[in-house]
Amino acid sequence: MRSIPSVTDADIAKVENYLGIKFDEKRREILRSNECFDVQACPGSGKTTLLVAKLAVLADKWPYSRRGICVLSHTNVARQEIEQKLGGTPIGQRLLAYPHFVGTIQGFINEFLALPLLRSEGYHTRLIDNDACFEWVKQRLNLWSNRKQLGNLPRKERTLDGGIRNLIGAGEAIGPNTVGGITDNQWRVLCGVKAEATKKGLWYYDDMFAWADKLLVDQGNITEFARWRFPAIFIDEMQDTSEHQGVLLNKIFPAYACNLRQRFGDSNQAIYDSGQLASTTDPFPADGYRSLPNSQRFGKGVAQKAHSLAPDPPAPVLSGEGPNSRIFPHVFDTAHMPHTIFLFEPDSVSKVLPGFGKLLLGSFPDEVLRCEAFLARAIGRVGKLDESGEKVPKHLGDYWNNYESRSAKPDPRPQYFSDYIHVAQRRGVSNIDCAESVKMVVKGICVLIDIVRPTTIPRSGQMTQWLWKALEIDESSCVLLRNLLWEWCVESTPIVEKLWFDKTEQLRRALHPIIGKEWSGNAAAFCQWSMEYAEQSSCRDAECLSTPNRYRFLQDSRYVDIEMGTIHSAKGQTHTATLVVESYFKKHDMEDLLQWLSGEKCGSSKKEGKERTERMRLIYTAMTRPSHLLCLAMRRSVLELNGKQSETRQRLEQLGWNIKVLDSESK
Amino acid sequence: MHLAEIEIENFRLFGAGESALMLPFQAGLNVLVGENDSGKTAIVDAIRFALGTTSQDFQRVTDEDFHVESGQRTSEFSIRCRFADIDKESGGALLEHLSYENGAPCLYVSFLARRNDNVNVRRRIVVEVRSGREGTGPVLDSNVRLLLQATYLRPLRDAERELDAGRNSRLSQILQHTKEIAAHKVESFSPADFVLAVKTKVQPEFPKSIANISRLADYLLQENEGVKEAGNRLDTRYLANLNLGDEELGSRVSIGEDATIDQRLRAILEKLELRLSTVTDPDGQLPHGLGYNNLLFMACELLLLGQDRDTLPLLLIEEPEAHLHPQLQLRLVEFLQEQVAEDGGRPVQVIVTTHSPILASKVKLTNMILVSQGRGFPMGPEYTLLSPSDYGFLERFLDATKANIFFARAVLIVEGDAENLLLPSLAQLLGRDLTRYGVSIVNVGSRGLRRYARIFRRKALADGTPTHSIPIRVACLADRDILPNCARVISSMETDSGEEKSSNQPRYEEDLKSEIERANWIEKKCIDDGENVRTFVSGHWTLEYDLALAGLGHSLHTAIALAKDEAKLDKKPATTAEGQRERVIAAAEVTWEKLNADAGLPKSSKELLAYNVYKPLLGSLSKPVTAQHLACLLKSNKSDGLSLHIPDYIQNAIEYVTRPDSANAATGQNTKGAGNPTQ
Repeated sequence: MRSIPSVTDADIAKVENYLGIKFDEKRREILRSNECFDVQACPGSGKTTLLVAKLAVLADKWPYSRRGICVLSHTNVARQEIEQKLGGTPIGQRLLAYPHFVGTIQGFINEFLALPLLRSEGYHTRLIDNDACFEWVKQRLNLWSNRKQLGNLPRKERTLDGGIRNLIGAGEAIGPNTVGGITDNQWRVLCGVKAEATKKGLWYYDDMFAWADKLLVDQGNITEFARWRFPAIFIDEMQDTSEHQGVLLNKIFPAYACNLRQRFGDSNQAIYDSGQLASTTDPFPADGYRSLPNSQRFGKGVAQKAHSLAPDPPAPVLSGEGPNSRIFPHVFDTAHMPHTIFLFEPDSVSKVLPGFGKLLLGSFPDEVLRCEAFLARAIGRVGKLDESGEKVPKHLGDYWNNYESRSAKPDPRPQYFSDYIHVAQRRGVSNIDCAESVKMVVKGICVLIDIVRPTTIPRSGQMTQWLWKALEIDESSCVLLRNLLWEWCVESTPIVEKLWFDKTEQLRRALHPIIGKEWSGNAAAFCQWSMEYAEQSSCRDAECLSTPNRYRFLQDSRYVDIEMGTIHSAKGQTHTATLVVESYFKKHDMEDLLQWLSGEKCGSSKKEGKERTERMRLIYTAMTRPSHLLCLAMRRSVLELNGKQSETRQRLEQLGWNIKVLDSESK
Repeated sequence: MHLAEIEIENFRLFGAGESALMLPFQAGLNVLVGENDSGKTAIVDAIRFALGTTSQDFQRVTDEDFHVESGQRTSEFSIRCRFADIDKESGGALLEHLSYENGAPCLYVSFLARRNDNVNVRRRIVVEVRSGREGTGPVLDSNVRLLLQATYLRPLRDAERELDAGRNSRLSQILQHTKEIAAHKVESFSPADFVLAVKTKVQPEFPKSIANISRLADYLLQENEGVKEAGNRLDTRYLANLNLGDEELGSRVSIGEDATIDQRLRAILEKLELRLSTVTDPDGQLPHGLGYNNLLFMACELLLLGQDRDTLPLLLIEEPEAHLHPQLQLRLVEFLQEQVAEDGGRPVQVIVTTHSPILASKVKLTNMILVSQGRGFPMGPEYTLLSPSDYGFLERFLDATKANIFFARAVLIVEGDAENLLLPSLAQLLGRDLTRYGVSIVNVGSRGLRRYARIFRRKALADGTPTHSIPIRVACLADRDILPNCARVISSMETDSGEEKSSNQPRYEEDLKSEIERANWIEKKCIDDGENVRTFVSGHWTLEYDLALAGLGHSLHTAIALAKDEAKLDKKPATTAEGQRERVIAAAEVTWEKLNADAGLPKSSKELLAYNVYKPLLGSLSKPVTAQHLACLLKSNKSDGLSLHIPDYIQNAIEYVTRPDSANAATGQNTKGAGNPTQ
C-alpha cells in the first residue's frame, strides 16, 4: 500500500524554486531515481545540495509515521546544510525529527545500537569523546601506584581503546597475549583503569562500535529492526568511511538488503588521518555508479589542471562550470586568472608566501579581498616537524617559521573554574540569550562538585535542572547562586583576580546543600585564578590577529591574509585562492607527481602503488579547493627532472600555468 | 508487542518500596476485578498517564495523584511500563528506545512526575517521559508518544455523543484511519468529464474516494439550474449596479472548496454519524439506549485498532458493563475474548476493569487480576496454587453468584444451602452483620470447597521467595462428619446399613482412637489453609447437629416441624389455613418435651437428644427449608443468651472474616482448625 514516494518533475521544479538553483539532466536523473546506486561526485559538484533537495522532496511526501529516512555522513555537514536551507520550513523540521535520522555514522551507532545496550546493562554515559577519555585515562595512569606497575609501557598501548573489546566481552578477546609486550600485571592495571572510566561514564568512540558489535551478535533481529525502520538510506561523504565503520554499516545496511540505498562521495578525495584504514568492505563507488564530473565551484582553468591527478579521473573529463559570479558582486576578470606555479631555490623558500600574496593583491580588487567570503589558503601535506634542514621543503614550517601545528578544540574544557566563566562570557557575546553561558558555568560548577563529592551528580538529564533541584532545600543557596549567575551570565560583569577568591567562597556557600563543608586540595586548585581563556574574549579583532597560522602580506598599504594549514584541514572547504605547497613525506609530493601535473600521465592504476595513489588523492583534493585562483609551489629543480625540462615546461604552459621563478635575489 | 508489566510508585494509593505496585499483564484479555477503592482505576489511569490515549480527553497530573505517606504528600511519582514480544515493526520504530533483557529486546516507558511545593514556580508539576529501565533513555518525543497511545473507553461515557457528527468527532477519526478510505486518497477524477460521459451514455467508472464523491456532488450542485439562476440574478441585477469603474463584481455559489484532499475528506467524514439499525428500524431513525450505543462505540474502536498498524493495539475499558443487561454483558465478554485471539488480524490487548460479577463469571479465571488494597493478583496458573484441573472445574462452576468473591472484602465459603441461609442470622446474633462488613458467602454446594479456597492461595516465586498474600480473609466452613456413637446403635437398629465397611474412614467418634487421630482428621480437612485462607471445621458432625448439640435444639426442632408441615402443604398447595403456623409450633412444643424425656441418661443425653432432633434431616426433609425456618425463628427470638449457643467453629469463622484489624490479615499466621473440639 505504502512505498517510498517517487520524485516527479513537478517536485524537482518546486525544490529548485525553493533552493534557488537549477539542476542539470544528470542531477535530475539522480533525483528521480529510487534505485540503489552510488554517486561519484567531483569536487564542487554540489552533491550535498543535491542530497538535501532529494531529502526535501521525500520528506514532503513521506507516507510512514514509524519508518524514516536515514542520512549518514562522516561529518555533520548534511545536517547543517538541512538546518541552513530547510531549517525554518516544516519539511526541514520533519526531516530532522522522528522517525528520520540525519547525522554522523558515529551518532547513528551511538543512538540506535550502543547506548540502548549500555543502558540495558546498567552502565551510564556521561561523555563519548576520545580526547576527554584519553585525558582522564592518562591522569589515572600517572598515579604513582599505577606508574610503578606499568613501567615503561609505550603510550599507545596505554590508551586502552583497543583493549575495550576484552572488557565488555564482545568480539575476539584482546588480552595481554594478543597485544603483545604487556605483562599480566600491566594488563590488570589497564583493566582496572578502564573499569574506573566505565564507572564514570567515560567512553571512547571505539567503545561504542564494540558495544554495537556486541548487540548485533547477541540480538540477531536488530539488523531486521533497523532495515525495517529505515527503508531509505543515504550516505554522504562515503569516501571518508573508515574500515570499521564500513564493516558495521555493511552488516546493517548492505546493498542487497536495502530498498533504497544511495551513497554519495568522491573516492578521489578519500584522504585519511594517519592510522585510519580505508574501508575495503563494500567498496565505493560500486559498479554502475553515476558520475557527476562537472563542478560548479571552479572554472575550466582549475578543472583541466586538476583532472589528471584524480586516481580515477572523472568521466569523460573533469569540467568546470564555476565560479558562481554571485560570490563576489564586484567586477573583475575571473575568466583569465593567473594560475601560477612558483619555482623556488632551497634558499628562497621564504619568498613563496610573499610571492603568492603579491599575486593575490594583483588579481583581486580590495573590495573582494575585504569580503567575508574571500579566503586564501596555503596548504601542504605535512604540517610541522621539529627537525628541519635536510630535504627542504619538508613541511609548512619551512615556508613560514611562525607556523604552529596546533589544532583548536571546538568545545573548550578549561582546567580552571575561572576559565569556564571566561568562555561563558565570550559565548554570551555571540549569542542573543544567555542559555549557552549559563550552561557553560553550570558545567564548571558540576566539575567542581564532582571533584569534591564524586558520584553525586546524576548520570543523565539536565544539569541545570538537577542543580536547582538539589539546592531547593535551602532558599538562601538558591538566591546566592542566582545572583552569581546573573552577574556572570546576564550582566556579564568581567571577573577580576582581586575579587575572585570572594566569588569562589560565595559559590562554596551556595553549594552548601550539595557539598556541605567538604573541600579538597583539588577543589582549591580548580578554583585558582586563570586567564588562559580570557585573552580571546577581550577583543574579537585581537583574536583575529593573534590567530596562529594566519600570514598577513603587506604591500603599499594594501594587505591580504593567507591562512596556512594542512590539506587534511582543508577537506570539504572552498577557497577563493589556494596555494598548494610541496612538502616531504617519504618523497617530495610535486616531484613524485610531476608527470601527472604536466598532464603526461592521467589517473592511477595498480602499478602506481598505494603510496603514490594516496599522494595523488591528497594533491587532487588540494588543487580542487579554489573557486578562482590555483597556485602551486615547488623547487625549481623538479622541473629539470628527467632532463626533459623544456618539454615539461611546455606541457605546463599548455595547461594554462604561468611559471614564476623566485630567485634568491629577486624581491 | 504487548504491555507485559507495570510498576507504579507513589501514585495515589500505591506507595513506594514494599507497597509499590508491580503487576504483570498478559498478551490478550486482562480483567481487573476487586472491590471499590482497591486500585483498579488507579492502575488504568497510570497506564493512561504513561502512554497517553487516542481519545481527546486529556488527563492532567494534579497534587492528588501524589501518594500520601504518613501524612506527607510525596514529591515524585513514577510509572514504568514494560513492553515485551517486540516484533520487527515495533522494534524498528522504537529502535533507539529499546532495552535488552534476558536475551530479548523490550521497551520501557518511564513516566516521572515531580511536584514543586514552591508556589512561585510557574510549572508546579513537571512531567517527563523517557525510555530505559531507569528512565535514563532519551525522552520520548511527541511523534513516538503518538505511536504508543492506548485506546481508552471511559466508564459511563456518552456513546451517542461520540458517534455523532461534528468537528473532530471520534467517528471521523476512526473513519479517516480506515485502510480503505486512506488508500483511495490519490485518485484522479474529473467531475466534469464524469458528467459528460454520463450524458453521452458512456458508463464511466464511479469515483472511489470520498473526496471525489464530494467533488462530484459539488460539481452537480454548481451545475444545478436553480443555483445557477440565482447566481446569475445576483450578478446581473445587483452586483452589476454596484460596480466601481471597470472592475466587475461577480458571485459564485459553491460548497466551500476545501484546499487539500485531506481537509475535504475530514469535512465530509465529520458530517457522518453512526446510528444503530435493527430489523424494525433499518435506517437507525429511532434513538437507542445507552447500552446499545456503547456496544456500537466499542465495535468502532476495535475496528480501528484492528487495522491501523501505527497505533498501539492496547484497549483500556473501564466498566464496560455500564448500561448493559446481563445477557449483553455475557455477549460482550465473549466478543472481547474473540477479539484478543490471534486469528489473522492484529491481536489486541485489552485491559478491562469491572464491578460486574456476571462479567467476571464469564471471563476465564486465568485472564483475571484480582485487585485488593493496592495490590494486583493475577490469577494465571503461574501465580496461584490452583491445579490445572481446578481451572477446568472453576471455569465450569464459577457462576455469577460465586463470582461475588472477587468483589468482597472477606469471604465465607460454605458447602450447603443451610449454611448459606443460616450464617447471616447467626452473624447477626453475634453482632457482626455480614453485609456491613462486606463479607460474601459463597455456597459451593457439595463439591470443590477447597478448589474455591485455592483461588486465594499464591504460589511462591521460582526462586522460592514468598509473594504477597491476597489480603482477603477467606473462611471455609466444613463439616467434621463424625457421627456420635449413639448414632451407630440407633442406625444399626433401625436400618442396618452396612456402608461404613466400604472404607477405613472413621465414621463414629469411637473410630477415632486417640487425640492424635482426632487431630489428624481435622488436619486433613484444613490441608489447603495458609495465607489468609482458613478452614473452620464443625465440632462434631454437621451444622444442624452441632447447632442442636450447642443448645439450639429446641429452635431446630420447631423449624423441622415447620418444614415437615410445609412439605405436606406442597402436595396440596391450596389449603393454607389460618393459624396453621401457630398450631405446628404448639405441637412441636409437645414433641420437644417428649424428646427431652426420651434422652434419659445424663451422660449421653445431650448427644442423643441432638441426634434425635437432627434425625429427620437425614431423611428426605429439606435442609434448606428447615434452615430458612430456623433463620426466621432465630431472628424473631428476642431472648438474650442465644449467641452463647452458637457452635464455636461458626463463631470463630464469623469473627475471623469480620475481624476489624484486617490490615494484619496479610501476615495472618495460620493456626489450623480453630473449631477443633479437642481444644
